[in-house]
Amino acid sequence: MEDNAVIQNCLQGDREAYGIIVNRYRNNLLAMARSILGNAEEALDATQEALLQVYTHLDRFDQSRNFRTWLFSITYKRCLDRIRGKKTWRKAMTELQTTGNNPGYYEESFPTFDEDGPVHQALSHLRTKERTALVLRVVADYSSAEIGEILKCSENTVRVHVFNAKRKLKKQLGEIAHV
Amino acid sequence: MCKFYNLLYRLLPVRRIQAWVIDRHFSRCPLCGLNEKEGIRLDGLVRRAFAPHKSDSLLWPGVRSRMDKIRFVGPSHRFPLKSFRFPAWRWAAAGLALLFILGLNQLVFHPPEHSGPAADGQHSRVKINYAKIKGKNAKTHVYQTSQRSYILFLETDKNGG
Repeated sequence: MEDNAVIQNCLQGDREAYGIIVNRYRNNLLAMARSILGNAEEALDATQEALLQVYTHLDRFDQSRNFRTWLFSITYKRCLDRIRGKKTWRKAMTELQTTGNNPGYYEESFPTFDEDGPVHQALSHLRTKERTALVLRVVADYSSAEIGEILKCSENTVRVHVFNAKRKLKKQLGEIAHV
Repeated sequence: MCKFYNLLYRLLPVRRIQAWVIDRHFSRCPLCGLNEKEGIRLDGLVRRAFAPHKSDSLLWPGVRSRMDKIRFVGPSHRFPLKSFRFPAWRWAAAGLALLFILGLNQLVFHPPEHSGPAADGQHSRVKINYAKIKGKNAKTHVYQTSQRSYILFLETDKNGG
């Protein structure tokens, strides 16, 4: 059943139909959320919130558009909100505890992945957009146009993000292997 | 040189025929082949790193349980009836406000005539056609007190004019 048909069922009050959508995109949504937040539990929570947000506003969805990119862009925003919230909290705590400068600490999020291993360690050195673009390309197998719509950037920028992500990952994995 | 072309190929969109030519080169060139293999290996590592997690199955039950708390807004309820629902306390407040406005209107534009000069003979209970002092016409003023009694004032010049 296509996404739009499932959405129609949901709009007619069939709540269980939404399960089809959730289970269809579950793995890719959670992979993207984990790549941004680094924590499986937090990724699960953020994705649940995003899915509920999508469900409550399902009637506002323009069915001529791609549902998948809409769903992923909302989840992406939810995950970024979480990072921002964490940063504000962390910043406030650090300001309370220290008086020295901490340059660039909050400029970019380097999540600590809850899974150990060289790949996760290497992935934590990538920028959020690079990691997200890489996961959406490699894991979800989405096109540059779709990823661009989700991340709100051009197709060429997506290509650059994926290219940089792979380059950095290769470099980081090489460095980790030599240690 | 191959590295440079590889970079361009990854970054720039190419036509299908161009992609076919480049892919053909990659499959024949040993250096590009190595790069391609390395790319495939990296992709595999990333896929494995983000393979489905054991907690992933909790997603739908979690969403489903929280869905019950949400009032679903379907297309048939696009314009929610909420705006037409007017709570009782609002009706009461509106009624009180209306009463206040009516009362204020009554006080300002139709004040009660407790005392003061009677407007004219027609509206007064007391009608004086004329009054004369020492044979001269005098002005008359009739006042009604709050006890509903009348006070009559007669006014004339000292010279009797």
